[in-house]
Amino acid sequence: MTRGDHPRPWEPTAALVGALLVTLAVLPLGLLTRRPDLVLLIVPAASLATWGLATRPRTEPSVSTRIGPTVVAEGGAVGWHAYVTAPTGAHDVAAVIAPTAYIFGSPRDSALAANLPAVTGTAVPVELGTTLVATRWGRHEVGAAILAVTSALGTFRWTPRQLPDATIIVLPGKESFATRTTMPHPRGIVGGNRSTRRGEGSDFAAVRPYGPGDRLSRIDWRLSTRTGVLQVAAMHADLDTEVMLVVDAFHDLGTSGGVTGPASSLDTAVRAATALAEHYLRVGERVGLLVLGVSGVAPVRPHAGRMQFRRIQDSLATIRPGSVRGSEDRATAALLARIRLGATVLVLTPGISAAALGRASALTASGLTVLVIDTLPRAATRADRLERADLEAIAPFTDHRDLAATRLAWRVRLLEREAQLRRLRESGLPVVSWVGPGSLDDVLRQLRRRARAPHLVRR
Amino acid sequence: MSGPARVRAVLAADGPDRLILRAAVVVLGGGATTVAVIAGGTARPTGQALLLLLTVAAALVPDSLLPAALTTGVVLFWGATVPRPTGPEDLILPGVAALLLLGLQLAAAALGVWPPGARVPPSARRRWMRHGLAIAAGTVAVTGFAAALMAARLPGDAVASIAALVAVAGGGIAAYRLITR
Repeated sequence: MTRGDHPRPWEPTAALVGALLVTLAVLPLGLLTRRPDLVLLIVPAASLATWGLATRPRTEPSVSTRIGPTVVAEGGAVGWHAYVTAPTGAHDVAAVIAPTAYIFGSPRDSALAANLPAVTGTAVPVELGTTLVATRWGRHEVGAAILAVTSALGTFRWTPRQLPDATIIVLPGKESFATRTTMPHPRGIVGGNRSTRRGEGSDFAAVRPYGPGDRLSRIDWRLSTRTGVLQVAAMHADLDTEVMLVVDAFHDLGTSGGVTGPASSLDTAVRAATALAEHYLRVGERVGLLVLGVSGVAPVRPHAGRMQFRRIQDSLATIRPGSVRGSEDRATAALLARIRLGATVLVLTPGISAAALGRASALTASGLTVLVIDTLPRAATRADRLERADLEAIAPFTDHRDLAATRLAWRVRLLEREAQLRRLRESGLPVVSWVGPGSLDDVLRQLRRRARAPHLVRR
Repeated sequence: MSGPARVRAVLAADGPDRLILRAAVVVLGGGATTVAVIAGGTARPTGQALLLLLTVAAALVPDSLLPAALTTGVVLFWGATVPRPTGPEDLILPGVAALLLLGLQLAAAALGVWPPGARVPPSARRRWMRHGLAIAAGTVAVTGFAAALMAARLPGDAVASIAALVAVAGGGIAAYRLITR
């Protein structure tokens, strides 16, 4: 519970000052000119001023606020509550909550009003409360508010300083994702992917003569009887894989409409990374996370288990795009150097950062299995159809005349991007667009086949 | 956003409760001016137009001194156009105008209490109505008292006038002390 800072006294409102001024100006005029009708006209103003002065509250109210929960999923609700304990003479309380991007309540939920009951002995706090909806992942400062308590007939007002906000972490929502294709380079200890080497697995590999250490349950009795020698069924080992998710957060392109609206490139990348992490952790893989182009987001080392999913979600929620300092290429190289040999690298990128694409190509050349997932919104790929707001989201204008120039520049950048992606494909690096479930099935199957084939590796 | 669309958005953000109060300021301000014109017997287009402008301004910016300026304007217009009352019946129209000005001041004060978009709680609405009716009853009582004094045709007295002026000054000082305490 947060206590508001409120050192201010009760202050007269414009209604009281106005009523007093009218009374003090007109009453002498009416008396001097002997006009009882003029005096009658300001009787209400005089009454209002007298009533307000006579019932002025003597002490200051106390206010506390509570905002929570502090961690919610996208689309989740955040409660905002203020508790006001007001002295005798205070009659009305109202609050306006400051708007926050991607934390929405209807306008009517952001302005609250309540009637303060007449205090009889112990003051009971009055609660003002509303529910806001967190529509986009990330860290948000939520709930700063202005509150005002007023006395009878709105004649005195007490306003504390701005009520404090709270940091809400909105965890990225999961896009639906599932794949039945196993990973191409299982190198762990135990898991769900068929290894090329023999071991204790579930997939049949071959029949061979019995040897020391073989389990009796593996003996193929029918074949052994026929050949006269004990034969056992050899199996492929089932191993886990290290999956490294790499999110390119150098740029956030396109308009973000929250969980129910259009998705920007980073929205797609973050939600896809969440879905991939959840899927691969569920099937027993070790999953790690690297975020390119941001400062303050520590790499998540590959681990298995439920807690790892939460670690990845927490890291994704702290992304602030383009906050890295220094050269893009150096920052990317330093991060990608952490990836261990044998890992399967899934790079989620809008394909705009040349550093990210170049380094992905270098990873492939060093023998890693790399898959580039294109997260650029489909709408952003049609430069001629982009509206002013879309272009503004891609490159903020400094001048209204920048519209045509920005459109042209974006078209050129898209052509460059297409050429870069084509070169990547030609060099054997698969590039797929993220479309949810089944996005990676075909390409993973191809990678598996390719992994079994002999190939040259430059180290 | 086009002009009309922007106006619609502003009105929608204000909320129905505040729109009703703004409308009340316009209607009651216009009503007080109309009563002044009726009491004066002749139309004064310039003065009426000025009061109309003040009424609209007070409705747009109610949490300011504009409602007080409108009240002062109506009183000055009244003093300039309506002849001095000679009998108790001449205080009926001032009483009606006073009630209209009371409604105007209460509506403007209420607009300063509740923020745009807020729903006014029914209990608060009832309390404001109660307080308004109490002041209205007081205004009617004062009007009746003034009419009775006029009917009694009491002679004027310089000492009483000076005492009243001193009382007004004293009241002003007391109010200032109360506010700044």
